[in-house]
Amino acid sequence: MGFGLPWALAGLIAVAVPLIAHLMRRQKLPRQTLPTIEFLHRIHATRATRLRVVDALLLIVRVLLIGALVLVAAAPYRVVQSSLLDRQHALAIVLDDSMSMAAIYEGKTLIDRAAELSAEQAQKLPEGSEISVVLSGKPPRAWIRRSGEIETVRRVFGEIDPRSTRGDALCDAVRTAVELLLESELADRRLLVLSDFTPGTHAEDCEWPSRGIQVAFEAVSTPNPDNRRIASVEVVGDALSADGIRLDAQVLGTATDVPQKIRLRQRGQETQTSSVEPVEGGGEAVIAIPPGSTDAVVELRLDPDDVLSADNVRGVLLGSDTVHVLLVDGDPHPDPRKRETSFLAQALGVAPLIGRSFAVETLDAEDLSESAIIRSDVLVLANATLDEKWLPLIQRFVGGGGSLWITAGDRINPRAYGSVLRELLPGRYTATRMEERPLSLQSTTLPELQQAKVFGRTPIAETALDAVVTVRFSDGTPALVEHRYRSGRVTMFATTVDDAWTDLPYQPVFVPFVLDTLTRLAGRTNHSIEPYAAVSLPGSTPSQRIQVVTPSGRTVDLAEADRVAFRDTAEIGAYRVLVNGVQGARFAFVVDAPPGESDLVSKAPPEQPSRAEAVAAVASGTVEQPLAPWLLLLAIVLLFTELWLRQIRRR
Amino acid sequence: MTHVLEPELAVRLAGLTLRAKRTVDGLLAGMHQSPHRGASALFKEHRAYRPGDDPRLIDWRAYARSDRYTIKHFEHETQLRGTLALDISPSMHWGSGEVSKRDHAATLLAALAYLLTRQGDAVSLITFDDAIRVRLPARSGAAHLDYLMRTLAEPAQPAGVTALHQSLDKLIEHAGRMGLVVIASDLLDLDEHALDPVARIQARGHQTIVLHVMDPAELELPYEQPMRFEGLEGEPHVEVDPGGLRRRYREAIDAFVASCRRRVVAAGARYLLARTDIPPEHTLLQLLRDG
Repeated sequence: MGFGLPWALAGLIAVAVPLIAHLMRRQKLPRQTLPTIEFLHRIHATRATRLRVVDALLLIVRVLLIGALVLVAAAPYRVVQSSLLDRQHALAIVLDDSMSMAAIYEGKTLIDRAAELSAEQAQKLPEGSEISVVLSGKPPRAWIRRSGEIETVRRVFGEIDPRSTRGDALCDAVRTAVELLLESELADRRLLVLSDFTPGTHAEDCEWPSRGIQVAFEAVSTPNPDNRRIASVEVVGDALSADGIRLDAQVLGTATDVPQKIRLRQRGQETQTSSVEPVEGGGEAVIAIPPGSTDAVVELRLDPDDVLSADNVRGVLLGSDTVHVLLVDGDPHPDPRKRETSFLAQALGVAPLIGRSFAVETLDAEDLSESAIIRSDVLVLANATLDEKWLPLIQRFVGGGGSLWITAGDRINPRAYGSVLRELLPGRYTATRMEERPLSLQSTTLPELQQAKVFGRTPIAETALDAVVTVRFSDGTPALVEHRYRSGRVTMFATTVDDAWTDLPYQPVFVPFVLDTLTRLAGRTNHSIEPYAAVSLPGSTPSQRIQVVTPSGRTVDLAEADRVAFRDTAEIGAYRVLVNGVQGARFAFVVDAPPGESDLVSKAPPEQPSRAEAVAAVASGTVEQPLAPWLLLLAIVLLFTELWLRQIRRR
Repeated sequence: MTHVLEPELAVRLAGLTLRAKRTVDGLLAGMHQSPHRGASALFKEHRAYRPGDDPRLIDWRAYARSDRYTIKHFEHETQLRGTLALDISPSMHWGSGEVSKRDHAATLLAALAYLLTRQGDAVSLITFDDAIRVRLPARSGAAHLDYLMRTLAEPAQPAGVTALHQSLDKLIEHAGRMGLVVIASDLLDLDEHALDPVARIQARGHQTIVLHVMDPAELELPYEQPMRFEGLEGEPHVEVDPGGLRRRYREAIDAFVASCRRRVVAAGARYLLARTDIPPEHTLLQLLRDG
């Protein structure tokens, strides 16, 4: 037995009121002398015994009446076996299958335990009841919708994944469960929430039903919430630097006596082990990756495992800020220093000095390959005659998030660009012409461009509605035009990036001009996602096989399509993407542990909206049955009894 | 009590005379006929001599004429001897209003004493509770009346309890020969033989009047809220809600009053209920009118 408002029990002091009144009344009765008192004695003698009984009963009834009213105010309830309540009801179970529930306690995960409790509860449902199960791991899923086949439902609880890496979406799950309950025709509706109620659940923010649905909470938690995890990894340096890459890993969680290590895994193989130096609240470890590594992503694993192993793994993107640029030279100059790609490469070589990183690959147009395009972030077609065989690939590359920069020159075929890539380009190249008087370039962001002189150009006309002209010629016509195409970006430049038509490459402003343009083009998508989130990847083609290697080493072939929404992201760690077996750095991504799920310290379940309204079914097979209605009925009976006894007394 | 007999009451009763229905013997000649045969101016009858008659009353002349012993009867106007008995038990000192039962009874007896004295009758006074407390001998005259009035007016401390039987038995001894005996009491002696002496008083030739003095509150129990009722003569207290038992109380009181009336009348005496809320002159008028 318990009380919803135990402080109201202080009102029990009021039961002393009738007792004191009874004693006071005896002491303070007005006194009256009466010579004929003997007659009162004679009459009263026959009533005295009855009156004593009635007075005693009145006193008891009044004490009980006040006591009953006080208890009603205290909202008492009693805990009874739910099986005793054999009324048909609709039960919705919200089972938390977030990552924190994957913590192991006595050989079982908390999800296993919650599933067992749910199965027990389902078994106790009276005939004719219906049950719904909503899993609150992110995203929430209606696992079972209003099923009356209790035995079947009981069995499927065993199919819930006990090693979840999901985030928590308890509030959304509760909302779904309430909707399912409201769809039920059964009047008795109950909501049972099984969760560890860790901070990540944010249960206090949920909208709990206040009327019509009885809510109960069952905390399924581990008594040992000490959990270690790799909280963060800082990447210092890059693969191109002389010192290579240094990974500074921070471990959070109570340190144990057992020495901890962090193991580095590259391409699925363990390559290094580093000890974790204990510090207050956790530990630190440093892992050095030698120069020259071409890995886009690596993985760190904390050893040994603890109660929650999922967050002991962390994928690390290496050089995630490095832009992979593929420079395609359409008109290779006999002097390599005079090539357009050479000017661009020289400009990009300055990038590390200003904190930017570009990985440059240069190809002649005839050496261009599909895999080379797929691996890159930005494809630069410098004065390249467009071969129609590349058009579909370029279109898919840009549509899938790649960026394209086309620079003008005498090899440009305006008609081909205008017809085949019309949809892709932000404008249309017109006939090339040489200027009698050199033009200058004008830019609000790079005013130094006006120092450059342009003698020839392939003017850009009919710019797209969404096109942005970032640089203009001094006659006002567009010089550099950009726009977005699906997930990618395309930029057109109306003159050359070598010294054929302009002296721009010799101007100091050339370097920031190139870096800014390529940086803008290389705007990256987020490569760090939560478990079960989708990643957009290029699909396979007949000549190009795209595969994803999961942290556990499983290889998944992507279907043939322009883009594929890859959803097999349940594992936490590093995901590598292979293009015809070669690692494609641009598509590597990591799945991080959901925030807040590593904290296993349970909080108290939220206060129920109304204890008086809630007859709570709990997974242990008991319910809290409110006693206030019965006590109120008793109080009414006592009130009438008191009135009746007073009438009896007066007779 | 400063004025037992209010002057106004004395004036209103001045024209009234008290006449006994029965003849009483008295030592003083007066307006009352004496049942005693003897020397007197008014001849009544002759009757045959019976053993035990005073030989001095034999009419020797008639014996000479008829050769039979004959007694000659005369009627004498005699002086009335009135005995006024006042119950001064504690219960008589109670009253729900300003006037206690004792005061009310004293007023009634004082009025009667005044009337008797004006007629030249002798009046004695006895106060009692469980014993005779005061006894004034039968006298007539203004001085005696004044003394009697003062005695009635004296505030007496309640003592003893009401014990009618033994007190009235003793009253018989003090009442002397046939006369008028007026008993003023609340009769709250619930012994079933308490009023038996009344019959014996009657048997002694007295004309007995019982003034049953009752307070209206005693008759009606007008109290509403629960009370702790306490007795005046040592009875244990009782806590009751009078509203709940008023009906049964009144039934019991009515039965008590009826019982008193029945027993007094059965003894040959007169009974008169003297409520303290009824002016005493009304009670006296009723007493004299009903003769």
